[in-house]
Amino acid sequence: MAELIELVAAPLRYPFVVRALVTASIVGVVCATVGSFVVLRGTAFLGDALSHAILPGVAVGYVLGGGARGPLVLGALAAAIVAALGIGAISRRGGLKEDTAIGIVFAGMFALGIAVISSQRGYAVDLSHILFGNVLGVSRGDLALTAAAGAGIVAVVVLLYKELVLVTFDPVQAATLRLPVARLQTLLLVLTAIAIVVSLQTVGVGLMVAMLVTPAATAFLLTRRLAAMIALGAAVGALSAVAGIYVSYYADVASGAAIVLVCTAVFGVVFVAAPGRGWLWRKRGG
Amino acid sequence: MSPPPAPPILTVDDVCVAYGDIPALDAVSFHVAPGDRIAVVGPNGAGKSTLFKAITGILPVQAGTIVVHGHQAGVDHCVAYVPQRGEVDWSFPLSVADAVMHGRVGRIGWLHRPSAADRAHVHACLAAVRLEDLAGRQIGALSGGQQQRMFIARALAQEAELVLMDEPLTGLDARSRQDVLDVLDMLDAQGIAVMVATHDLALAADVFERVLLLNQRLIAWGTPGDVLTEAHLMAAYRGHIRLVDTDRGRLVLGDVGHDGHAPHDRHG
Repeated sequence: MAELIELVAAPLRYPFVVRALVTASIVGVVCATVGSFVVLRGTAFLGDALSHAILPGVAVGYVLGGGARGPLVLGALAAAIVAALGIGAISRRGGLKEDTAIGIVFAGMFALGIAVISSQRGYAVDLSHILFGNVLGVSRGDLALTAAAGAGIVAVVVLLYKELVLVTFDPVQAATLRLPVARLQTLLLVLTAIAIVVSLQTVGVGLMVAMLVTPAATAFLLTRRLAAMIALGAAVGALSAVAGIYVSYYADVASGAAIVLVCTAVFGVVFVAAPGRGWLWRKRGG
Repeated sequence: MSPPPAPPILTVDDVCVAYGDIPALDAVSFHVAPGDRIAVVGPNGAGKSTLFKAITGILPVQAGTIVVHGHQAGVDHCVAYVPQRGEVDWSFPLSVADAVMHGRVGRIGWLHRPSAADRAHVHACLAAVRLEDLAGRQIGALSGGQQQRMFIARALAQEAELVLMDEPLTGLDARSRQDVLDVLDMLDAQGIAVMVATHDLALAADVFERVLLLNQRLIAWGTPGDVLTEAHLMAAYRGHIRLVDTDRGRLVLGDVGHDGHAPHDRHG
């Protein structure tokens, strides 16, 4: 027992590990909250694309701000908005399917981001941090920003919960009630973009979509009520993030990858064994 | 039931809707009075769903006007839409009571949560369609007829005065159909107008007061006897209908070779 406590407590002696644990937990909660809507609307590819498309914004913010956090976040947000508008414009005006438009915008902007970063010296390290995260490098300011933005996102979802659920489930009914359907859908996109930006340092753009969809999908298999799905997804996301950082600490693997692997493992267990819906139950039921 | 000069709840005047260059509705005009029960019939692609989407306001009209009058001017909650079952994500994590509560979202208002009165209202609406025992079920656990009744309960929760239903009886067994038709009678008794899009000409003739025969243009509009005539049906269905004289009267075979539906019969 004492050994186990020591195993858990040892990393906590380092303040940077504690900051990483808190930040990653917040990211887990925030991503699962918006991720539940991503899963239910079937927009996982859009989430993945948005997380890649912010790269040029991050890169320009990085170059102009010399590594300061503010310009980086603003650049990322600006890029996310440009990407979302660009996807909408190409699919509406060009008559192309939305997933094609997403592919074009996402790859083009991602390439632009890599081009900008590669023009800088020592870009390999910076690029790998942006692509795959560097949660152990989180500063106090980063943590405060993540907490504030996360609280804001959760507050918006709580305040507009019934409208956001209705617009996700049945946009036609929402329109008959004269809700601003397009604006609410855009709001969900903006919330997703903000969640991606504040989660950037934890798992990086490459693995972001896993934080959005994997904990939420795990929760989907465990409950038939949306509020419970969001709460459970948040718990799965936060606990996976904490467990992942411990795995990273002891197994000496990249923290972002470790977090996502824990999420995936939890999903796998639930997928096989979830009461009523898991693979084992469906087999038994015939 | 309602006297003839009752003020209309819905006025559709010379409405045209197009998807790009392809016209879907062309100069359609009619009006609906409180308590009217109207079947909207026509071949596939006739614009039945388009008409409903235009009335709900999610499809813009290129010309003409659609005015929903209702009893509460300025509060546009009086049109409810019951989707086709195939359009609904039945795995969505919602209970039956949650889904019915969606009808009240507009009345509850921004930033407010459902009150005890809202929950009591939802319960009463569920009881009206005899689903109160299933309030806590996930929506996908309902049968086809129960799913339709759930959406009608949502329209009741909304306090709608006009309910639009898109193919509500397609794919239901005889008993579920009857359950849904009983609920339509209940709406009738409350003075709620209903417009039902259907492929089923026999149903339109048997249980609806008025029939709106559509094929982009309004082909005919009135009582089933006036509308479902050979000339009108041939005009609406063009090559896709056959009229056969049998010993039981005239048999109408609708939408021949157009989709997998069984032929519908009607006595002429």
